Amino acid sequence: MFAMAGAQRAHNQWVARLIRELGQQLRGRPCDVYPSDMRVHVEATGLYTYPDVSVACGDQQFRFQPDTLLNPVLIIEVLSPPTEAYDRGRKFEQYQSMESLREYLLVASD
Amino acid sequence: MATQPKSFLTPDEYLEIERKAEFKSEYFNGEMFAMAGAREAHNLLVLNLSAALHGQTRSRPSRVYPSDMRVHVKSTGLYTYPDVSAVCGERLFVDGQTDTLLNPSLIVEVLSPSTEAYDRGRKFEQYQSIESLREYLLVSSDRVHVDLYSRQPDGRWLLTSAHRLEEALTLESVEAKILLSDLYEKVELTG
Repeated sequence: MFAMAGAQRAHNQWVARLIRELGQQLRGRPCDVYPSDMRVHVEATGLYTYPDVSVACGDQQFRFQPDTLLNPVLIIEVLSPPTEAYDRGRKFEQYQSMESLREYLLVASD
Repeated sequence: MATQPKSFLTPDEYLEIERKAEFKSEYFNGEMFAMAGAREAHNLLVLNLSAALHGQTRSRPSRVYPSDMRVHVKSTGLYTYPDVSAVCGERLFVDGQTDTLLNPSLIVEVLSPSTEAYDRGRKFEQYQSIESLREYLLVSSDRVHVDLYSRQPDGRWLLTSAHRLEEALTLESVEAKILLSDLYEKVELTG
């Protein structure tokens, strides 16, 4: 139980750091940094997912205005053992079909 | 790869045990990890790929090895058995024996659920430190899908994926072209 809680804590700390750092550097630019409450839809595959961090710039497009982002430029996943294969494999594959996406960052939490 | 924790072993102790052992174990950081057998799809994919590579490289100095060829990653200390490995030109081995390869040009892993995260993550990370390695191919065994990572002149790794049977994959490290229809021939994908 503690191990799980610890992993969760490290995961959340990383997400918080990334959002803080990105938010500071993107201030004054037409970009938004979203935490994992922003649902992202991959139109080509039908996936709805909650990336740990997503960033959208310029003309942001949404489905079901305004809660499901369609065109992130950056997606970040903080890795944990149960989801690492998916994040590196099939999920990345689905993200690749998003034309807006320029970068995909994986952060190890251990 | 099943975990079998033992007391800390040095690389020399590992090699001594491993060279006499009746089954294969990988080695990392003082521990040996016994290797399990594999499902039919995994075996057919390894064989189909090996056959295609063998056929196309016969007239050249390249060597293609099945998973009994141990590979050592010097900078991290890993000893492992890739599903397929290949070398172009001169072969370098540990200890002057010919059972542990140091300079593969190509490494192939057929993915299974229990090892996918490792093969895509930390194992790939270790393989990247092998200077001779030019390509790393991952083959899915539950659907038609391959990911090929190629080392670029600036040191980055470029990903090329294919998922249709009519597609072909070019492996520049061994100058071979693999049709996905050949790779997945007779492979029953069970998801």
